[in-house]
Amino acid sequence: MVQINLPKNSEVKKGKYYKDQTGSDNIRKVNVYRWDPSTEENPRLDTYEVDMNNCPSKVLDILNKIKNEIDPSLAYRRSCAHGVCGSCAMNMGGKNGLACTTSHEEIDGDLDIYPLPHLNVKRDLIGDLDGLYKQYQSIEP
Amino acid sequence: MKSYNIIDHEYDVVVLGAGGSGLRAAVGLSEAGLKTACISKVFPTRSHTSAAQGGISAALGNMGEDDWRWHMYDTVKGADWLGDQDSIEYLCKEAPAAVIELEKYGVPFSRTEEGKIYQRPFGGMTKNYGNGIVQRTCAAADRTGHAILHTLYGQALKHNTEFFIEYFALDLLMKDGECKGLIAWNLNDGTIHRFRAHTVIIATGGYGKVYYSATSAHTCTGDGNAMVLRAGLPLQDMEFVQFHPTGIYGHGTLISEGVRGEGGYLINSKGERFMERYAPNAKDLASRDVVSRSMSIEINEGRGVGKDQDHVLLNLSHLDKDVIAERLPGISDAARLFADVDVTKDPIPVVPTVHYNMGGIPTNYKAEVLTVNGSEKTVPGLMAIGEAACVSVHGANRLGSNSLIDLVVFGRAAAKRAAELIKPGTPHEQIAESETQKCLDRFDKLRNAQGQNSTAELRLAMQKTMQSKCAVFRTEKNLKEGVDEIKKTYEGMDSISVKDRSLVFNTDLVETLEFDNLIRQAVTTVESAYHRKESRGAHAREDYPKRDDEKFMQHTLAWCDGKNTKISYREVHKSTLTNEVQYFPPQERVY
Repeated sequence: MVQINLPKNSEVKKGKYYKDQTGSDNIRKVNVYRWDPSTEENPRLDTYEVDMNNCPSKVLDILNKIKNEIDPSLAYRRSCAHGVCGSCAMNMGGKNGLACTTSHEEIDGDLDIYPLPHLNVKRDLIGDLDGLYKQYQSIEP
Repeated sequence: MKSYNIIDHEYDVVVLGAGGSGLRAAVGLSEAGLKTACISKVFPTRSHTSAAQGGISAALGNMGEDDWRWHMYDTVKGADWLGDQDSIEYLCKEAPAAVIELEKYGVPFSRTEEGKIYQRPFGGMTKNYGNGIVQRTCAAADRTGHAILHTLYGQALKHNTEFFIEYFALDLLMKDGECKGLIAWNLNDGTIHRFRAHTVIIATGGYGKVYYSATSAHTCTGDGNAMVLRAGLPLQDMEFVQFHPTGIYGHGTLISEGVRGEGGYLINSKGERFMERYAPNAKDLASRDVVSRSMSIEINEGRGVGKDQDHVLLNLSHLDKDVIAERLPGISDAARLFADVDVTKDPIPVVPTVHYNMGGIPTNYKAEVLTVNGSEKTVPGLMAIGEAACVSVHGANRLGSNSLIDLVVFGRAAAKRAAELIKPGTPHEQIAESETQKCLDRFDKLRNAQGQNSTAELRLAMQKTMQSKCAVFRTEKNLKEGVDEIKKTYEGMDSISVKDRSLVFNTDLVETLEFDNLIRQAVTTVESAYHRKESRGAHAREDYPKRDDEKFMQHTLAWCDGKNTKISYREVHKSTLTNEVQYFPPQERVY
């Protein structure tokens, strides 16, 4: 059987672990894909312990909470926050969707968040959409 | 300071922002043969125009008799006589042609049985100068903005507008009081770009995110408004912030006024249709400031619903299921997702939520930016359109569905005016290097900020202050506290912290630059509100409950260089553009 390996520089390494600082009794582990093009490092999977007692219902709320309270360097696209603009498309718990309309309760266990698959990654959860934009442009109105 | 490599560009016109107004301007400019760049921090179809639901107003008369003069009267009255009537005449007269143009571009409007554009009733839209309700708001189901935005993007591509997507604009380049271009940061690769242009058109939208709870997107940070302030120019009527009556309680998602247009109504904890008491004629379709105030009174007097009795209910379960499915599909989804409500069975919990900024960059009806230096003057090379602009057609309160029409009418007007003023291919003047340096100094300082206060903490403090001190009802005491607290938050920027020093998609720095923009607008908003000692439209002072035309039938102008704010006033234009309609003198405003 053919064994397919990822190129060395695409292997996702174990990343940083951010322990809860709030003392909450309701913690959820959130694993987020990280990659920073300004370093030579491989992509990594950071783990954040998030206090779910003070977090609204959607995956985007978790990401905002991480960015505002734990790690401001996390990069993702977001805008309307109610399922209209399409900015926050990503892969959550193995399924593609909008972070602003996906309820985190629907996903069991640790929450894994990755960029949309089959796209080059520009940084963290931000995929390169140039190909999609070109297709969009090719449609004659 | 570390030196940045700068990439130069030259265009006849640069449009900043790619929402409805920016795209409409870009289409017109490209059609006129002007070399046009359109710069946006988000991909065009992500712009917040996509969230506009209910519709776009125009006196087409598809559902019964209508007249653009009636539309003008409604807009003047809705604005509580703070709108400039020359601009309002232009808006309402041009509206029908602008909507037909959108139809020809391909906007998929809902249709009547005869195949005409479907029009629904909307708040404050009346027939024959306030005598009965008219159906004037053209709709593409409850996704009108989305349909318009996508159609306009298609048109802009067809006309070969050059897009610079995910570029964050930093500052305008000024020379002797004239605008010569702007500087932007490319988030994709971290490079800095300098655009020279004979005219810059600002179409950056509103700044709803100065408040904690708003229907606005994360990206509604009024970046263009703040660039104008930093260029030493004033913003106008910033105290007028519209609270939409029906944002979903707890989440802020917009529920269209179209729900009430189609027959939905508000109820309090006693099950009363309370709007009948506040607006006996228009009821639930009174204008937005009136409905939001009525809801706030109901809640303040203990007739709110829920555990904390702090919201009311919007009922539409009595409507025909087919009508809901056909005309209100988007809000049915939103109610299910964000309030866990099936609208065919249960009412939606709603509360007045920040939605729109009537104030912004002062312009005339040709979209040219104004300032006051002794008398009213235009700023050469600078235009503003859409929610960023204060034309002023919305005055002290905007009517629902008048914003989408504002976008396309004034987007078109800006393109027309630029085509009159600019000969394609005119060479560009040199700009002093110091302008670029000043902009990059601010950028570099924030990028390397090593203080104690996180951007998120400062932003939250600002949002909470605005939410509690500059809300639906305002008092001298509240506003004074607001002025002081916002000043303190502004001072917190001296010790702001940015953790990420990189340049590619550094969203920590983006949010910090956005906060720098927001806080300047928070300062001007609360200062302008403090100085306006009357009640007019969306600005309701409990200590000055009456409108004071003698002192305050004037536009507020606010300059802010950060720590110092200057307030001044400009006369409201008290004449119409042509003699096809007479000036509407101030009256008492009842619905």
